[in-house]
Amino acid sequence: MATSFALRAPARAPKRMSLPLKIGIGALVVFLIVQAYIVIEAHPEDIITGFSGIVDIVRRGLPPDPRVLLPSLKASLVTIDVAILATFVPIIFSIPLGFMAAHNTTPGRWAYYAARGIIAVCRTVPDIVWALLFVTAVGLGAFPAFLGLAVHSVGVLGRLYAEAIEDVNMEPVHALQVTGANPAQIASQAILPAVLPTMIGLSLYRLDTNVRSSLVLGFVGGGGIGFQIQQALALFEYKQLTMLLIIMCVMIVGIEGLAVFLRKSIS
Amino acid sequence: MLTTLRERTSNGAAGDGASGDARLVVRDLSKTYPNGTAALAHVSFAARAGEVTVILGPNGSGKSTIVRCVVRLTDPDTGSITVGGRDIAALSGEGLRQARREIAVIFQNVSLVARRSALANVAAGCLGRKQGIETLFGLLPRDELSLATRLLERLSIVHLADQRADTLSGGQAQRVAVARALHQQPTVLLADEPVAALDPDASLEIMAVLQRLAREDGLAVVCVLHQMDIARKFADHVVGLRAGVVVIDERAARVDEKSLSSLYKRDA
Ligand SMILES: Nc1ncnc2c1ncn2[C@@H]1O[C@H](COP(=O)(O)OP(=O)(O)O)[C@@H](O)[C@H]1O
Ligand SMILES: [Mg+2]
Repeated sequence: MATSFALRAPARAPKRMSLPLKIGIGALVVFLIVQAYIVIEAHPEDIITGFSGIVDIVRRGLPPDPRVLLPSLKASLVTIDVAILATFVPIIFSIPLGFMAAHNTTPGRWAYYAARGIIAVCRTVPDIVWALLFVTAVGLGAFPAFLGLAVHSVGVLGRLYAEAIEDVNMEPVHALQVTGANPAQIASQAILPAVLPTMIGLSLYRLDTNVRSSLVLGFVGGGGIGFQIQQALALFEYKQLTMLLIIMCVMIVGIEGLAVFLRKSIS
Repeated sequence: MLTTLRERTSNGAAGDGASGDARLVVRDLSKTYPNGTAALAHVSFAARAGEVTVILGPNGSGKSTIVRCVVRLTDPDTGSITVGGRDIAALSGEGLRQARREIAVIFQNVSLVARRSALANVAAGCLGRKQGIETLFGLLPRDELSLATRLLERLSIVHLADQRADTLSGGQAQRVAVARALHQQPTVLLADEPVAALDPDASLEIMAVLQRLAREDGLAVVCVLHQMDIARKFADHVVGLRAGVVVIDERAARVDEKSLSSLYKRDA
């Protein structure tokens, strides 16, 4: 209810909102916040009383245990590699999907709705759900994590690519169309050069997000450093945990930096 | 240097003074946009080989709609558009693609692919006749690339061959667009206000180039303009458009000042 209201409101809203409408919207927002607070059973006082517990964990986690350093490097590589594959393999599928799902390049109505449908399904089912589905098919490990992340990424990238394609200046496209070029030539020689920098930027951003997702998938059996963190927690190995968290932070910052560097160097 | 003087090759010749054969024949073209705007009503005219046919009219008179209909970027409601014995208005799919190869278009705004070099943009003109899978990767036969270089030479911009299209000046970009149009090896060259975005000097240069292409290559050049003075200077034949209706269809030499300025009168 809340989302459909929020989506429709701007289109229907008159130039100036009437007072009853303002009060109504205000009341709705307050209601949403209050009910959420109650539903999640928030007890802020527990943060205060539990503070000593947090301090205790931090104390027990120091100093970080360097012995996990070497095995965790291999695990980090698994986490990163899942993200890399789950970004680059989907690109192959998302580019044609993006062209079909953009109203200015779609070959026809059926292709448009088929592509939009595939994108919607891939996107709306979360990567973790996809991964769990694949676990039942191929067993635990990094492979189902990759599959789950990849399927979700196909949807996300497909949608972003379609939006980028719809923003392309159509004049050069028309110019090529009237030379008698065929649709594949128009797509590859007029549209792709125009959207490529945007597409690369979006894909690098996706790589960045996928590293984090890959980590989380590790918690549910996807392997990699996420799995090691989960194990350390379960076995109360807090010194190992601290070491793993440090490595995780370095890894994420590193990938972020790399993505930013690559994005800058293409623009 | 390019001459900007009009060569009146057809003046005083046989009959109506027309030279070549009719290459593009538009008959009874009408178009009403989905929003109800009646842009064209029963437009008919012909463009001859070796001539510059100028379509002249004020803003909103339907000039661009004619261009867009002739190459089927917009579908006309009625009428026929005959080029090389084919009715473009009746074609679709592969037939339309083939027929389009006959007509090259130069647009008002820069229509080059921004991130590609001038040379690559020119060479793209051959895609209508080169359909191999390698063209999808921007790979073109050597002879097409050398043709592109020769065309850049002919338009005196070969030194810009490797420059990215989005770094060219307006006049340079329009020359690249002309070169791409020629690379298509068309029989009809259609230009929609090719000089509207250019300064006066560059405008005269581009118009002189178009006129030379009609004279030297025997192209039927159809040039949409809204400036009377440029039309006077370069037209062999004038089609005057007012509110989607053809009100002048005359040899340039016979068009008088009065009928020209009546095109731009506020009241009907
Ligand atoms: N896509 C469109 N939808 C609706 N009306 C249009 C469209 N394109 C042009 N028109 C209208 O058609 C008329 C002719 O436009 P156009 O052919 O662009 O004129 P010109 O090129 O002579 O300035 C104008 O009234 C314009 O507003
Ligand atoms: Mg126009």
